[in-house]
Amino acid sequence: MADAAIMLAVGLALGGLFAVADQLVTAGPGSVAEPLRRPVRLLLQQRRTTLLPDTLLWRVACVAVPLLAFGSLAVVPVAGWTLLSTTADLVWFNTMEVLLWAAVWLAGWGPNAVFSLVGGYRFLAQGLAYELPLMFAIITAGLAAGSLRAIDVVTAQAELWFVVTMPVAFVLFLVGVAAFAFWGPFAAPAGCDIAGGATSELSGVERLLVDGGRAVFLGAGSAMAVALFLGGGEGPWLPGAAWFALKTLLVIGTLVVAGRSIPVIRPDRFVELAWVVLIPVALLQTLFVALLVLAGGYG
Amino acid sequence: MSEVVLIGLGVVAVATGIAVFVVDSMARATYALLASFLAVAAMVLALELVFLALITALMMVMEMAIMAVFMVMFMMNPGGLMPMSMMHNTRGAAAAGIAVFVLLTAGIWLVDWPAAAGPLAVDPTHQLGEAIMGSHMLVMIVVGLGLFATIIGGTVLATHRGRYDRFGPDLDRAPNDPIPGGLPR
Amino acid sequence: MDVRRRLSRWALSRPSVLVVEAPGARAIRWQVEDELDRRGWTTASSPAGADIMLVLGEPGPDLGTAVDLVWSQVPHPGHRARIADEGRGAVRDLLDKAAAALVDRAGEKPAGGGDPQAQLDGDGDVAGLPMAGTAEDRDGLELDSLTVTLGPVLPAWPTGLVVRAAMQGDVLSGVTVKWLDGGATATSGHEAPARAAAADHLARFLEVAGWPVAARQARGVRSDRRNGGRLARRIRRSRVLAWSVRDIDGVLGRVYRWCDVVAGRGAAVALEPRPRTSLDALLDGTELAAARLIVASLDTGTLRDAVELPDRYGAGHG
Repeated sequence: MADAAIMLAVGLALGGLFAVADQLVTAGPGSVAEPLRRPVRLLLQQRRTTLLPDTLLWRVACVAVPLLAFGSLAVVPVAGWTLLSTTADLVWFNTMEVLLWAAVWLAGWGPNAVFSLVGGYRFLAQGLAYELPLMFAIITAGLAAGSLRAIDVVTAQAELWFVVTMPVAFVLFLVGVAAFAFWGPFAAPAGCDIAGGATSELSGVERLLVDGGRAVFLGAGSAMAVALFLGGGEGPWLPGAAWFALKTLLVIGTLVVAGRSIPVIRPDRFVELAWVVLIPVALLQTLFVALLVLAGGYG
Repeated sequence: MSEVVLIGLGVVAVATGIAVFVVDSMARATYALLASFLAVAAMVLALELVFLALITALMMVMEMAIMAVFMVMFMMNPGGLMPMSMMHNTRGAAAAGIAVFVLLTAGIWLVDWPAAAGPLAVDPTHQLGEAIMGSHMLVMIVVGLGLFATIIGGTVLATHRGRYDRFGPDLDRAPNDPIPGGLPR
Repeated sequence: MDVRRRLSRWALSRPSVLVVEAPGARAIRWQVEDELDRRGWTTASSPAGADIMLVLGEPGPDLGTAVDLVWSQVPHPGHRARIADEGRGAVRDLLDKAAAALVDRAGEKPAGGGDPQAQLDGDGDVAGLPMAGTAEDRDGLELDSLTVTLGPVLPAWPTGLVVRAAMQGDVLSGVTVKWLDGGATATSGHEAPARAAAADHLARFLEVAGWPVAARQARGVRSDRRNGGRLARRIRRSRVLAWSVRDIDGVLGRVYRWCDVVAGRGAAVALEPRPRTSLDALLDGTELAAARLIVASLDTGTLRDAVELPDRYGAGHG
């Protein structure tokens, strides 16, 4: 029980960090406290509904997004500690974000509104694009560690961080994180051109759940990138927790700055690029790592 | 305790499976089916086969999400706002369903399942990986290639235009696509 | 109660604002947007996410009906205000008063009657609305077809423009375009330097293209707070932007032309050439995202000229 509370706190902290970084880059330093204000403001807001919504599916979707975010955080080794440690942690993380396919489409379908539905469809189109490169990137880290347990992946980087031997997988992982939370260059499902897309009819606590879930997902993904590719809490002089925090801040900062420096990529343009370029590149990266494993490069 | 969980999840799987036929809405039918599959994945998880459970959940979610898109696209009344009967050939389908159910149940109860040899593996995922990549590697490779060929073949058969429509009879023309993709091909 | 009120005041100190610009209110909109940027208040992209709705200028009768409909979708606590005259002081006062009124509203109970059914009065199949039908799409498949109306009030959209089309998936076909209230546009009666107007168009285009950081920079260029040359360089150098919109006819060229104006080059090109086809022909067969980008890339004056007058059908709701 106490462990679950710790994970909740860590998740909210990571999500808050990401939201603050994003706010800093988009709106300048004036409104840094916005990620604290916004939840309270949304809780004060009345939940409004549309005409003939599919209420059951809509509510399920809104509740599912943050649940999945915390579900994915459960296997992320935060400074060496995880809530859950299974023999297939990497697949668990992957499954939690794949379940978003269902949740976001349902969030788009629920309100019975045009722009909302278009946002849901855009998410699935984008999902078809980013999912395979993301899966290959995650598995490559497991391949190098010889195990799908997240803690094993962290300890396997004691001598050399994986980002050195598999930089492509690291980049593809970060791309996947931004894409499954439909943030930044992958925000087409919630784009301004469709009046907010899948989030256009959300208000009050539902908007808080969905937007908060996305922020926690982005924070958890950044922490997982640190664990899978940047050696977790490895580092001289400082304790593991401090290194982990520093690295996570670095990843979040890089992701936010890079993500906000490009416009939204339309899903129909991205799909061909993902299938024809990113998947072969991911496979070549996996092949390279597999050859290294066979040659005994990972000890 | 785990038996209670398993039986409970089984009931959920059957109930949501029945719900697929009871609801009017295409979207609800699809997601009731997904709920049924996820209940089965949860049962596998309760049996401590983590990898299999997660892979089942992963694949089923992606499939059902894409299926929902096609259901909404092609079928009338996807929101279930008008009452509609979704059942066709009710008698034949019921007969076939009952027959398969009886067959499977009889098989499950009558087959002499082998007893577990040795203690439970410490790492069932590793054990599964050894089995797939070791003794069953040839089967997996053949099945994998077969699946891949089926997917590509199905897509190629479904598209309206082939290579020669796009690139010309000598495959040397620039492609004329009504909608260009993201790459200059 | 006092704690709750203090909490509301803190939480609502930077509300999200939905800006609706009526014809002839472009100067007011520029001031409002600059003030919102300065305060760090966000602009809402849908009424459900808005706390304050600001109506700028005097909407005509049809646009007024549309604005009322949008207001009905803003959740409680929500405050509606109108700004009719310019003057930076007036804008600041009004925003402060709106924030205060919002806090007062938050303390009250929500009024009933938010039933969306009450707003519509058709005689279709379900709840007075027609169901989506099926029709053949561009590949010859029998797909669902929905009648969709874009506008007259949308984020980063020329207010008053109504685009009606049949949408299959997200492809628009059978597009008809009209302007509400006789075609008065937001730019009527407002003379602005070419550079500021170009920066304004760029800001709107960049919002639609999903690049909020660059859009903010463009708004800064519009009010001479930021360097126009830098913005132009940033947009021209963005290969992702070029790749993303290259397949839509003419959009990138128009955007680059605005960049030239903003950077101080090509300032002689004040008016852009009228597109060769009318707006509905331009939008027909495009996807929703491409249609939004095309509309955002066209100057409002050109847009209005590109619609064949008189309008295709009689008065209707927005």
